[in-house]
Amino acid sequence: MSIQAKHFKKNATKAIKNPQIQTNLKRLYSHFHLAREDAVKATHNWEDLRNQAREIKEHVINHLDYYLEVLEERIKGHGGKVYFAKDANAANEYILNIARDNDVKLVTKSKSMVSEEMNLNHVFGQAGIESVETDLGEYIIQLADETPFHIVAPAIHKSKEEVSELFVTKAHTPKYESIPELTEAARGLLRDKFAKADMGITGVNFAVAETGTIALVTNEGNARMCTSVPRVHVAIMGMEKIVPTLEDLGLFLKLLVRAATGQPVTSYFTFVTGPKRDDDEDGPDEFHLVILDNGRSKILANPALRESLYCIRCGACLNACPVYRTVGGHAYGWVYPGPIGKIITPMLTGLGEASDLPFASTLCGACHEVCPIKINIPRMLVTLRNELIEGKTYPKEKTRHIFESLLFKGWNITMKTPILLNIISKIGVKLQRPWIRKGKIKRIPLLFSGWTKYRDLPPLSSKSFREIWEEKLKDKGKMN
Amino acid sequence: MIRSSEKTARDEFLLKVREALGKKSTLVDKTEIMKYFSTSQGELNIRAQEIKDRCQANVEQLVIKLENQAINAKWNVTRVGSPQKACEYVEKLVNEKKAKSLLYSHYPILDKMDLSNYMFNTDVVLKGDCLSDVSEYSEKEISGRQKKEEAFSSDIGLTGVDYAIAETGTCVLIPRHGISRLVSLVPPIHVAFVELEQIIETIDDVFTLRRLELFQKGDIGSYMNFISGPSRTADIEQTLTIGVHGPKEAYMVIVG
Amino acid sequence: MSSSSNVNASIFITCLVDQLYPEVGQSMVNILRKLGVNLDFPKEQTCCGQPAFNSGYHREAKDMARRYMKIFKGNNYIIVPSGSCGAMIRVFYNQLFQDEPDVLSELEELSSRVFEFSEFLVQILGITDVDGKLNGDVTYHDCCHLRRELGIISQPRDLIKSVKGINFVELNQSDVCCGFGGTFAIKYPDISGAILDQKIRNIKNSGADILVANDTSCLMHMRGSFSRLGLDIEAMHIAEFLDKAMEG
Repeated sequence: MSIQAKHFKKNATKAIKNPQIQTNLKRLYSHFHLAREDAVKATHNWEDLRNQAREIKEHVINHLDYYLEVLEERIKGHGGKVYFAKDANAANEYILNIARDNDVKLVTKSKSMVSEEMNLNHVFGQAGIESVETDLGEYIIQLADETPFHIVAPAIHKSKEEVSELFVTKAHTPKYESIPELTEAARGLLRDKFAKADMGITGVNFAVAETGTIALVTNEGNARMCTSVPRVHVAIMGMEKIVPTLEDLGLFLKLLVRAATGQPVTSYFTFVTGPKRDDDEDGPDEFHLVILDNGRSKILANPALRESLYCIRCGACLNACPVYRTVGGHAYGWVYPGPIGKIITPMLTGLGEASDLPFASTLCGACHEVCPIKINIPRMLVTLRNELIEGKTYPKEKTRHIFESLLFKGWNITMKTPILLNIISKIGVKLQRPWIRKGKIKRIPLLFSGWTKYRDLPPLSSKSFREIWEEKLKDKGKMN
Repeated sequence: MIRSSEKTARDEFLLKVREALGKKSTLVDKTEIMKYFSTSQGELNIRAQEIKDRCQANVEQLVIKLENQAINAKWNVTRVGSPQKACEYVEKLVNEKKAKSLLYSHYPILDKMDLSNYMFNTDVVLKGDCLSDVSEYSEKEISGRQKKEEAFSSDIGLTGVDYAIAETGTCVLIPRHGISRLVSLVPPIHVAFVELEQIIETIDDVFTLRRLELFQKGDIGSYMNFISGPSRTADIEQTLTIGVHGPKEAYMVIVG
Repeated sequence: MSSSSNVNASIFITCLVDQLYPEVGQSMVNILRKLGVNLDFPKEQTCCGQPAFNSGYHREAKDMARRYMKIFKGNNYIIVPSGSCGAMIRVFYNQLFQDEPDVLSELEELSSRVFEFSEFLVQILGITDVDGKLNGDVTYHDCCHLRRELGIISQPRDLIKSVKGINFVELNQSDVCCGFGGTFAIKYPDISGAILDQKIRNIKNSGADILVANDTSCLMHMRGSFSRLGLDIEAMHIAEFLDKAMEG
């Protein structure tokens, strides 16, 4: 996936002007965000669960080397293979090798955000291997040659008419009118692929170190297909997705599903522990876990940003974010949209590539409020902003804002000198007069014109509070 | 055979992680790890026993909870008094759905039901998950590819469960010898038979029990599914649709 | 109403109220004095440093913070007519000085004295009924930092509802951001405008003719849209609202 995060502002405006996207985004609040709220209210000890989960995640991430080795050892003990991929290229190369070794012609793939970092489908395509997305949302965007719009529901920006059109033009189906018909059509289209697939690829929602198990959380049944039918199963995960024990898994599953969609459980939780055993009836002969770094060690190395690795990819922050709900996923320009994307994208692709993202937030804190792991996203956004301005940890990625920098220096000097503040205030009061209409400023020229594009501005008061205090209010009180 | 490039890749990877954490060596802070990553088998035994006692003592309440939660999860739920009645239920379903071929897994409840001996419509084909050493249940030797084809052409898949979770209306299936992954997945209708002693209260309970199994046997098996109703999606316009790639209909029959 | 002649408080007026909305400050002073609070105004005060902090200019923000801490040293309560400036002192100063433990302990002391205006009335003075009278349909917007960083949710609502003659309407999506976000509104005007649109729609649908909020930043943002759209809704700071109610 090419990185388009530089064009955030332009793409955001495009999305705002797109009526279909705006209609579909409105559903997020009621369907996901409020559903999550209901589920949280119905879970009597939600705060305790969040605290426990955060504690566990903090522990695992702080001892990540240990847990990675335990996970590897357990999986190998059951006959599985583990590959530590430093970046997307290494992961792709490893997977292609397995495919070639096994004469793979057809791959069925269930949802994996990490695989989007790798551009895996494109890589398969180049190698002449057919790779089919089987999650309905991912299937739709694969047909549309687009990238995911949302972490949990990749195609929510599409209307059913758009989906119908895609099925006709790209999958050569008849024209279907209703959503049940379209879903049935997808079932039919993909059934054949499931049955014939040589390799199944999945993501990993959680990896249990103790047992060497990977957990998959789905509703559609496609992940079960991808892990039951083909001879080879490759699971891909970001290195941070580990939990210590099976019992910890229960806690995280509870949090993930409620936070993501408000359901108590999804239709299927699937737990894979290595390849099939000798006397199993069916299942893959080979199991590979590909563990990806791809820049996560850079995040890990920064204690102020490390907690972004606690993320369990529930998407709750997207649904809660007023910015995401206005601009949708494509504007963010890479794999991960929304509040968490504003941290991961700059850190994994380069602060310079995505320098808009940390600033494109009102810091309202809704994301922090809904995060099941209590990740303090606003705090990290401010940290990233500071990095981009002052370049303490990543001096090479500092950006230049000459005018703004002078402005804040000026602000600082003025605010340290109240006399100066009074003088500037007085000048401002006089200068603004020509711009005032009916008690409001309707238009500011140049740099601050952004404000008056949509709203009026109040004029500076002819007398500031501090003047009024001196003149009138001070002596009225009992004490100076 | 470990290719030397892979070994280096692994070591470099882990080295980078250690460097990021500010660790100079591979030594681990055992005390910290023990806080989150150690449990004694004895402790697990006690908890597992508590779970079993609690569930046995409250069977009827758990049945009611299971039924209600299963309905919420969009199972079709029935309770029958005996394996014989369960067979009658299957016959009724077969007639209703005009099913032509059934596939079943070798769970104890299905063995008790003995469907192949039950009077059936003669043009209904019944096949069990192949067990090469249990020839009386298999219609014929089935190779891996044929097994897949059987699953993809069957109308109904019949299984028992290893656990049924009352809290969420969930059936837990653990594929193994005589129990395939495909029977509960591929046919458009899945029927799960639950025996009363299999009903457990919560998901957390099941994880505790399975953890104990890990300690006892060293392996919890290659696969496990928690199934909470039929397959579904809301990927188009966030509108819920039942029936995608997994079964379109799911039936839970509580026997006892 | 209790008499509080032993309560001494300093006013932290904030830049926006000082320069753009001094009437909010006046209302605050009126109310506090009626309730018997002894007030002073450390006149060296200026900015708490939040704009610089939010924009990533932490050297400048620290300068302003240190200056603030010096000016407001003492024993008085510090009352601020803003959730976001209050959060700056109580919450974000800790982030700014996270590597300086001496400052952090000083901040702990300072934070214990800082109160947002409605919080002060309810928690320190024990007042939930200002004995006010006003007619109108009133709704309330939760300013983000006030709600999420300071946890102030019921206090403003209790005070508003205590005013006789009003009809209080809970705003739909009251806790959703208005889209201001400081420099965000200038850097990303399209997004800010779109978020504001949604807020205005909710306010219109509430049927209220008065909107109350506790931060002049949010009020400035929303008022700016009311006047641009020609809407006949009055946006008032809670101090102005209560002052008006106490007058009539």
